[in-house]
Amino acid sequence: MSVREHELREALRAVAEPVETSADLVGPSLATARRRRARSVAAGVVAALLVVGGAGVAAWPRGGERPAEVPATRTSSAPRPSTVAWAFGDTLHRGALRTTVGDGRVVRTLDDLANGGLLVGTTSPGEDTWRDYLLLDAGGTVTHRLGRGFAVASADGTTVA
Amino acid sequence: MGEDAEHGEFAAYVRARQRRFVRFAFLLTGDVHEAEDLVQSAFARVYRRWDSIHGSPDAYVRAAIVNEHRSWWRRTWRHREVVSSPLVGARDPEHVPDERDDALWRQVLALPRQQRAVLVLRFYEDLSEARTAEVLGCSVGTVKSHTSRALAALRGSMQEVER
Repeated sequence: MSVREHELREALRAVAEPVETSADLVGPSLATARRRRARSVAAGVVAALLVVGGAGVAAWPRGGERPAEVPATRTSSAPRPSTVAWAFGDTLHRGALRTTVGDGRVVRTLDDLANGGLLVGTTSPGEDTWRDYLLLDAGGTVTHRLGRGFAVASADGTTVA
Repeated sequence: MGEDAEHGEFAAYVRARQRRFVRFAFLLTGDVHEAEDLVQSAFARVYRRWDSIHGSPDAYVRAAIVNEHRSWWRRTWRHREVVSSPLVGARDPEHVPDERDDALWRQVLALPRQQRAVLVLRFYEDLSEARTAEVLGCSVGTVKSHTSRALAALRGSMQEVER
């Protein structure tokens, strides 16, 4: 049987149509993204962070360094410094959401970030379409919580994540 | 344009077009999560040039997605990804794919990356051969040749599947 062009066209549409994006569910608000941007302007950072998970867009305009550290917290009661050791099984909070690192899926680990760190994406159990990204330094410490639905690019246009 | 207006305009554009571009990227990659990452990276690139883009930004975003996909493919780190368990595809659970569409899609996925990109641009995005060549940065002749080879390969593989 031959494959006609119109059949291919219909098949591609049929395959693409049911694809849903994380943005169809929940995403960071534009207000949050803009607060991030304002904070970054003050810090004079280089990287551009674009949050497009649903509604948010934030940018770190040109400047000097990476985004300011975002604290990650754990379920343990003791207060934590702005960076915490990351290990499988740790439970991290972000707002009302909770991610158990390693209990959800590790979407990817990238081992060639400029600082030798890792980008770890996770999904929480039962939250298959929600992803959270943690940027870890070479020692496995969470240095940034990037949230879900993001892209980070350096000022020279090299996308690092 | 003021920064706020520019920012708002871009955010509105992302909201309006994100899903469409994720579907396009999905056809390039075959993976919803990778498609989302790809689209976000492309939006990040376009955002930097937002104030210099006149007319519809779609062409810029489309080209950025294709280029980003190509560069990801070339980067060795993409091959060092560790996926700890299968990802759940973000597909409509109610959707039951047509058997033939599904079989054809699997054959499209098996095509060389560049041939697949040509087919997606020509038959999903409905671009002309000339526009497809612009997006891919190649000649119209190359587009024709990729299209012809890809369709021939699909005909052959579908015959095998249906035997």
